Parts: sequence; C-alpha cells; structure tokens
Amino acid sequence: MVSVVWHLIRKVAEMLFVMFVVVSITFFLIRLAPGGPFDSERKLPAEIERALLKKYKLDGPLWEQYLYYLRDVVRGDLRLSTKYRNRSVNELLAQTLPLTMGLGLTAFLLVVTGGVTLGVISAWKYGGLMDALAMFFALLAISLPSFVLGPILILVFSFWLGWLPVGGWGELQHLVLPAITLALPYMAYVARLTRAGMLDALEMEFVRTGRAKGLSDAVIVWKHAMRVGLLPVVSYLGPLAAHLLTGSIVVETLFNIPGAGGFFVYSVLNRDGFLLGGVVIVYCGLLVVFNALVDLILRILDPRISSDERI
Amino acid sequence: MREFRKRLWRDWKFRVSVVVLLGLLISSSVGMELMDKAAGEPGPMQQSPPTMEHWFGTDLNGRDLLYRLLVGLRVSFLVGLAGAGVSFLVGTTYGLIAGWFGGWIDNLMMRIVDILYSVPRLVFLLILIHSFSEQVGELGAALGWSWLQRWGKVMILVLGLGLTEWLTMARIVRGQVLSLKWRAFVEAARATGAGVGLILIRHILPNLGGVILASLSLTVPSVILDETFLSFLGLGVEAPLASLGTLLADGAAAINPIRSRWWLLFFPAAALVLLLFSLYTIADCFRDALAKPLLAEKKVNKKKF
Repeated sequence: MVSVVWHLIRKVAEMLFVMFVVVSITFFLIRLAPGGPFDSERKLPAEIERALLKKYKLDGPLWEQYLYYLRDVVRGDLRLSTKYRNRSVNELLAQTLPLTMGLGLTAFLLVVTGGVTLGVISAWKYGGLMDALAMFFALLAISLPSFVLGPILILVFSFWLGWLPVGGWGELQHLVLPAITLALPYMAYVARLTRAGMLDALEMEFVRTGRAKGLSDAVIVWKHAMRVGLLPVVSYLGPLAAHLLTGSIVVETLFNIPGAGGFFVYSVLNRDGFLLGGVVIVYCGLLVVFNALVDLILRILDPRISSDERI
Repeated sequence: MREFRKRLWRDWKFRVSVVVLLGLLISSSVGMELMDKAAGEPGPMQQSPPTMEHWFGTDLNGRDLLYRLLVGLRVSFLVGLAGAGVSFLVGTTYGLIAGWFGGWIDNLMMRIVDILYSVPRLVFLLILIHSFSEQVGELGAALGWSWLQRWGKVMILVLGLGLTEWLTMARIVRGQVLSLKWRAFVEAARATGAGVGLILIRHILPNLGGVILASLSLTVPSVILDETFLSFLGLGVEAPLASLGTLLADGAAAINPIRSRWWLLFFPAAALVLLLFSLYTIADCFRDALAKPLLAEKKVNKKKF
C-alpha cells in the first residue's frame, strides 16, 4: 500500500515537472522568435508600443517576465490575450474549450469502439475477405487528409442525401459529420494497431491452452486474447487524445465550429504568446493526465508490468 | 540481410507497391519534360473538365492539372524524402550516443525525449516556419543566391518537419544499440583500439539497417501528410511551386453543390492515395519481414481462427 501511494506521489510530481518544462519551452520559443505581438504594417510610435508592452506585462528583462508569468500561471491567471484585446485567455478558453472537448470526446469514443471492433474482427478472420476489406479501407482513411475527407462527407451526406446539416453547432446532429471526419483517420490507425496486437496475442501459449480446454473461438478472442492484444492500443490513447485536440482545427474550420482548435495555429501566427501558453497548458495537461490513466489501465490489464518498469 | 531481402520479394504486395512507387517517381521526374512547357502556365481554358487536350482538366488559372500534379508530386517526394533524411540524421545520432554511453547520459537524453513527446509539435513547426521563412528569403536576396530565395521556404519546411519527427527514431535506435554494444564483434573492434566514432559508424550502424529502414518507411508518408496539413493552413509550399497538399487544398475549396469541379479534387487525391498506399504497404512489408521470420508457418496456425 505504501508503495502505491509513493508511486502516485512520484507520478504527480513527474507530471507537474513535464508541464513546467513544456510551458517554459513554449514561452521562450515564442518570445525569442523574430516578430512581436504588436508588429503591423505601420510601425507604432515608440511611446504607444512601450505602453502596450507594459499593459501586457511584456516589458523588463526576459527572465523577469518569465518568472512573473510562471507566478501568474500557478495562481490560475493565464493573462490577457494580445490579439483579442481586453479578453483574458481564461475567458477565451472557457468559451471555446467545451465545444472542442465535446467534439474530441465523441471522436475519441468513435475511434476506440470502431477501431478496436474492426481490428479484432480483422485479426479473427485473418486472411479472409473481411480482413482484406477492413484493412483496405483503413489504409484509405489514413491516406486521405481530413480536409479532403470532410468535403467529401459533406457532399455525400449533406448535399446529395440531405441527411445532415453542413455546418453549425448546437444540436446533436451537428456533431455527427465533424466527429466522423475527425475520427476516421485515427479509427483506421487504431484498427491497424489492434489487428497487429491481436495477431501477436493469438500466437501465445495461453490461447493454445484455451483451445485445448475447449473454449469457443469467441471467448478466446474477445475475452482472453483481447486483454493482451489491446496493450499497444491502450499505450496509444494518450497521444490520441492530444492528436484529436490539435487535429480539431481542420474540422472546426470546415464545419464552422467556434472551438479552441484554431488557437493552436492562430496564436502562433498572431504572436499571441499568452493564448499560446494557455492552449499548450491544456494540451500538455490532457496528455499528462491521459498518460497517467493509460499507465493505470496497462497495470490492470497486464499485472506483470511492475511499478518501476517503463513502457 | 539476404534472408530479409528474399522474404520481402516473396511478398506480392511489396512487389506491386514498389512498381507503383517507381512509376510515380519516374513520371514525376521525367513526365513534365515530355509535356509542353506552356501547359504549366496560365492559359485561356479555365476550369475545363478533362478533355483529350487536357487529360486531367485545367485549374482556376487555366493551367493543365496533369502538369501541376507532376510538379506537386515531385515536390511532395522531395519534401518527404528530405524531411525523413533530417529525422534520420538527428534521430540516429541521438539514439547512437544515448545507447552507447548509457548510464546517466542515456537516462538524461531519454527523459528529454519523453518531455519533447509532450510538446505540441504543431506549435514548434509553426513558430519555425512563420518566423524564419521570411528571414531566409531576405538572406537569399542579400547574398544574391536565387536558389535560396526560391527554395528557402521549402528548406525551412523540410527542416521543421524533420526536426519534429525524430523522437521515435531515436528511441528505436537507442534500444538496438543497447542490445548490440556488448556483442562479441563490438568487443573485438574495441580490442583493436578502434575509436568510438568508428565503432558506431562501421560496426553498429550497419546492423541497424533493417530497423532504421522500417522506421523511415513510416516517416516518409507521415512527413508528406504533415505537409498537406500545413498547405491546408496556407503555410506549406507556395505558388508557383505546388505540392500534393496545395493541390488538394485548392481542390477541396472547389467542391460545392452548385458546380462541382470534381477533377480538381479527384486527381490529386488519387495521386496522394496511390503514393501513401504504396509507401505504407512497403512499411508493412518491412515490418513483417523483420518481425516474422516464420511467416509461412504462422499462416497455417492462424487459419484455424
């Protein structure tokens, strides 16, 4: 019991350290790169620029700015956005993140359920027609960027069939096409991962034991082999959550969803350092929490993984 | 290694993919030379569907789409290969050093990799491209190097893509080095007084060939896909150059219910799918050939399911 508590404390400390380093890296990258938040076609008068820098706490030596910024972040103040004047990063994120998270969560569930089902069936029917078809479409989905997949889905389901709305937000049916567009490539990837993992698992000794014991194929595949075969998929869940977050920018643009995905791109292009800091904290926090969860799930699925072993 | 090659060629999927890939490579490198140069310039026939004269139709400015597609394919190939090359150089060097020296050096270097996995690579990529592509252009103008002015942005793009794709390579190489470094042939080299660099390059690197190849075959398509994503954002290759990404972005914008100019999307998408399909299949074959020495035997076993 003591070791479990100790392990948890160590994990949390590690997580906080990673977040601290990532936030620092982004802070210095965006501040040291050429170009500033108030650059425009016309050069601002020196006094105005100085006043602006002071207002946004961008004056003084860089290390001092950095320390003050860290202090504010720890207090939960992500500061003002330099692009969306007079709006705080906290406020911007509070308005946009729920949309992106809702979209991402739906896509996440689609990816996991759809991908795993397809992968398991493929491995089960290894070498058969189902396997070949599933893997063909999986490769197709991976090979098409989502900004190509999206318009095609819109053309088919909105314009030709008229089943779903083209864009917008608010009702459940608005969620369907964006979530599918976001999920498909990752679903295909997960299906391939699952298939490979399951094929390896079906080679193992315990499968032969199960067969000798007279268990049915279904029980062996869905109950016993899956526990081992899904380990690679579980390890991928952390990166998946992060990919869905940054990948949402394409989908949000295509379907006119006012989410937070675009901030990843536009905060860099606008040199909006604090907004960038905010989305990076969200990104990193999500990744770190998911990785910790994954660690836990892996331990439950495979008790052989000891607490000190790195996967 | 010979066994590895033999196993690869026995796989029909591998043979087909190599033929498709070579076909794309050859047509993108010599195809344009066979066509009329004027086909790549804006012309009077705007947005024409495929005809006998323009096999793949023409684009918004009346340029022949086939010609543009060949240009785009060539640029995408270059970006993919060069990006993978950068990631190979960085990842392999890093992994070799970490694995060879071991101990606290290895520990530190691998923790750094762990942390870098948590940095959103998109952000790093955008900062690099957006901050430095202007500078490179100006530098080219100041030095009077026209090639730098023309290719500077593409070079920054390739550098950025390569610099954000090396982490997995470093991990794989490091793991292999750890298992190789106490083998007898390495001991023998050490005993003859060979330096660290010589041992790493002469004796260890050649033994990593298969793993590196398998990893690179996945890096090339993912760099190509990343470039299409940047093109969608308007940060990829710029006109008058074209890449598959910019053509796809233009094509996707041309899709609407009133007048569907399907050829603008269909042909670039088909080219990308062919390219990535063959690359991914080759990657799969590499993996199978590396990991499953008894493939034939296993197939019999799996048939039962």
